[in-house]
Amino acid sequence: MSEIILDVQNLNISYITDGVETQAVRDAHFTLEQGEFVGLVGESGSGKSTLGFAIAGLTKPPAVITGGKVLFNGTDLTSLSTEQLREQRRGGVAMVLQSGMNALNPVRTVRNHFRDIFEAHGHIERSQWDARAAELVAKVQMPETVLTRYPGELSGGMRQRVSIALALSLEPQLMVFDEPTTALDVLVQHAVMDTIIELQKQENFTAILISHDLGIVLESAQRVFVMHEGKIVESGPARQILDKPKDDYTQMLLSHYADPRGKVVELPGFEDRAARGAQGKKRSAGAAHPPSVSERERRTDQRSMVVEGVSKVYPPPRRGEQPVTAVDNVSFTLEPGASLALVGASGSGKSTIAKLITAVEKPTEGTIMFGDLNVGTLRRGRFRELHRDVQMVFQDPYSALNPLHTPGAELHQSPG
Amino acid sequence: MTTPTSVAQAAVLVEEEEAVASSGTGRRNLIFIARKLGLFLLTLWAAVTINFILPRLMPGTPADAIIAKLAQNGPVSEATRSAIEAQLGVPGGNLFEQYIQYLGQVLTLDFGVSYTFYPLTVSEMVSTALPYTLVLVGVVTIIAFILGTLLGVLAAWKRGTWLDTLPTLGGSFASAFPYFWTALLLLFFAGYVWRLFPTSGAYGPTATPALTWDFFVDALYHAFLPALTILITSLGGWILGMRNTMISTLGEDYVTFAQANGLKPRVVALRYAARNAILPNLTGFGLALGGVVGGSILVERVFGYPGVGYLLFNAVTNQDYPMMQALFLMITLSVLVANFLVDILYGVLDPRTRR
Amino acid sequence: MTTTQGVKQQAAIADAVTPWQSFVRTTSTIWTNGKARVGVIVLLLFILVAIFAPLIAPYSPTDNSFDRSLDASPAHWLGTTAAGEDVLSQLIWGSQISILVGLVAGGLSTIVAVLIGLSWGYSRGFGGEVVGFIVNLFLVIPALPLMIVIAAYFSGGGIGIIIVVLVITGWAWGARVLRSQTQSLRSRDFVTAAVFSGDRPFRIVVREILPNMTSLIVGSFFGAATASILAEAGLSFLGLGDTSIVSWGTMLYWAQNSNALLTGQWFLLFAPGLCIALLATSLTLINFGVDGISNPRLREQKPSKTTKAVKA
Repeated sequence: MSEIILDVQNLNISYITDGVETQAVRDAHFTLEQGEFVGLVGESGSGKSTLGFAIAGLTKPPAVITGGKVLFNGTDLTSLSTEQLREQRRGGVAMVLQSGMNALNPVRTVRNHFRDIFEAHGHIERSQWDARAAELVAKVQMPETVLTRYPGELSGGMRQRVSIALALSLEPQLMVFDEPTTALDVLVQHAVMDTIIELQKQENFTAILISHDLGIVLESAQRVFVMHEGKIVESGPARQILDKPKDDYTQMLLSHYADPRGKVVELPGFEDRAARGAQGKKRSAGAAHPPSVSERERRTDQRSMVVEGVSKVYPPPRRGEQPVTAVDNVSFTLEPGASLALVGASGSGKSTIAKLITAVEKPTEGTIMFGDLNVGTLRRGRFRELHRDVQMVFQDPYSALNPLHTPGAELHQSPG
Repeated sequence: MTTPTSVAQAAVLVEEEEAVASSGTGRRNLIFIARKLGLFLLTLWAAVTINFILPRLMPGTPADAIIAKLAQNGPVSEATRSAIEAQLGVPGGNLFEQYIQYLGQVLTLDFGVSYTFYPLTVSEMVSTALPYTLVLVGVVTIIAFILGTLLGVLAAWKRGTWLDTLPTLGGSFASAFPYFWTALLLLFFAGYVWRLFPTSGAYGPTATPALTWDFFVDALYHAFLPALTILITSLGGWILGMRNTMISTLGEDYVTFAQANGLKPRVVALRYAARNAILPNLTGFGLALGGVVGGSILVERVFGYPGVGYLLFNAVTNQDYPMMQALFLMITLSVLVANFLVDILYGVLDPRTRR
Repeated sequence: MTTTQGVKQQAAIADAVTPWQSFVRTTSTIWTNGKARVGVIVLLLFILVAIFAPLIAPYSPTDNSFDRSLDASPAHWLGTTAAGEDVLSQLIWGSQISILVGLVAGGLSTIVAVLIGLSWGYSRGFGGEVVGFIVNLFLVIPALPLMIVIAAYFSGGGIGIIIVVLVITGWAWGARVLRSQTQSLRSRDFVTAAVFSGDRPFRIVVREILPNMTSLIVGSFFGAATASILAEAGLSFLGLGDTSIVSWGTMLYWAQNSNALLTGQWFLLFAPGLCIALLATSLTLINFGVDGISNPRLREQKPSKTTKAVKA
């Protein structure tokens, strides 16, 4: 039986802004044994990151711990002074932040990042610093040359690995990974996760993986905690959560994850979220008269989107560099009523194809025909004609809507 | 390197290796410097051209217009008239020819003869005055920048405490005073009332400029009040600028990560936060310098400090156009050179610009 | 990607607001900021003085029938100038010029900055580089020397020329700031969506981009107004303004010329300078509040009652 290394008791954390208090974590309590790999899963805003930060002793205003204890090997982290907290990091709790995009100092080389840590804790001999750094980056499968690089010269996945190696240099007993792969490509995500899993086995630290991606958590963690609106609503072995979820919220989460065509469990209060949003929009757009769905279906000129030999080449982003070929000789036909999925790593050109089809960009070569409308050479005057039938839903909901316009105003503008 | 355990890992690792292998910074540094140098020369040329165009915007030919202005204050001597015509070119000459002639004059630093100090040439007068201003403004600005930056870091790090409010508010308040007003106050109290410092000049009436220690001390004594004025007025801007960028930077992930890794607070504040926060302020430095230079003109006027600012003021009062043109160019040139140096410094400090 | 705090802020932005709500939120952010509140009060005071100058001032500012260089007395609270004019009246009337120049020059500079900044930021291509060079040119060339030279060549043009000179040297800063914000907004999806509905660029800039930049434009205006007031004072002090009109700057010019320091009438120098400083400070203080709108991190937090202090 392994010893208990983390004991969280009745932890309460709130965000206080402009005098208003919002509870982020309610009454969290659980224990972790040495060597465990647990997952903490929940939607955005469920409080999982806040909890993770508290465990790592990084809670900063506007977040405030309003009650409870975080006992790490018997010491209550919430009662330590800043200096004491700092010292216990070596061999204590380390944290890897959300997708190391921004976790590295842009003006210091990777090697200097390691040196800073060694200098702060003094657990490695000065003469051994560079050797130890090389060892650590090797553990995350990076070549030694990465040490001379600046963070800006590394890709997202590489930066994330470097972050992991840096956290590892503290020789921690407990590592908290906060959404380590969220902003990364699908392929890179798996590579990084595999590295994390391997590392945990080799170095035998206790790991907490925080993620909203249920799939990743279930694949790597032994035990899973599910958080919803600040409370831990369910916990148990990963297998058990998957097969026999007890809590309603967990069931709902799982059903959305498992099979898109399978049975979807709706919770009271949740099922209307999507519908309610759409209804709200419909109500304010009542004044305009968009053609109803049935009207549109009645249209007899159902057209195909025919893409032939299309290429899109962008001029070099900076002087002296090569032009960028975003799309290279792509052809496909989209029949009316069919749906086509474009899948690929970032940079593979899928968004560009979407832009070409919707006439946001013009192809460098090839033709795009929508019925008898030549989309590739469309002039601005005829945009509305195209966009009556061809529309785009953007990736980032926050930036797709003008923050100052109400949805009603947006819809009033639409061509209908 | 430990062997990859999955196909995904292997594929990604190969890509990453290739990315890390490519490099080459030497040539990029040269390109960077060349680019900045090019911009510097281009801007300088534009300033010179503006100087050429301005007098020709006045109605009539420039020579006639200037002579007419001078005539308002009294009869214009023949010597002055011929000096003006020699300076601005014979009326009726082709504009392009005048421009070429003008460029040639500028390159050989031939700015003609001063009206007020005839027969001394403008170049002589300017070269005597320039060092005083360069030293005064240069030294004080550097001190103000360093001091202001440090106080700004402190203010942001200790946000909300008196270490924050005092420098920030105090600095903003002091910088709202027009340069000449602070100068007048200092002159009145420290100069006249308390008689701590001299009230005019760059050195005492019995001293002669020489590279001696005594002269140096005398010059310092005379430059103290003007320097203090510039310092007081410009400090607030640096403090505020650094404080704001610092506060933004402190919210960055890499600061949190540095703290997560247990780095000492001072290291985090300086090596991680301040080191990044200073960069936008460096870009601002070059631009703010123009403001400081403008302020120094007012300060020199108040203190009668014989630098280029005081000379410019005199030139304006006496409508000494050759002098005005030359001074404007010299002042602009100094600011451009300073900007160029700061640009290079920025390139050194921020590796991202060199990629 | 965004930091954890950043995600929460983005969520806050996504809540839609009406223009009225936006205005109220702006005003309350400014008002809650202590420094800004002081600035607003002082500014309003000055504006009131300027508007009611004819009613408040005891004498006409150009009335030079009084004895010269008098000290403070019940008849002349601040004494008289070397030419025999009442200092207090001059001070009150002078506020009109300073405020007028500040608002007009500041406003015109901001308008030019908006026009150039937004169109420069929206368009892509080589034209942008050329505009960029011109903007940089005006930024780098030291303002006061340029103003001095221009004003000297065109002296005798009165306040109008001064304002023109101030605008020429003052638009560049705002243009640069607005341009960079326009650029970052331009690449956001909602602008692409608008392009895509067939909107003409002008419409897009005005409907989609402009409203998102109000706080930046307002901040730009206050900055330009401050700079204009200080610059006008400087130019007048050097004798380049219209020396026949009464402004705080010309008051200082005449004071310096009549050696007020030697006659001991230091308040002749003190009073107008203090007014200039206070007016400029009030605008700067207001800008503190405006900063807080565009950069939420700079907003001052209200102190709250917490049970446990958290160590960063």
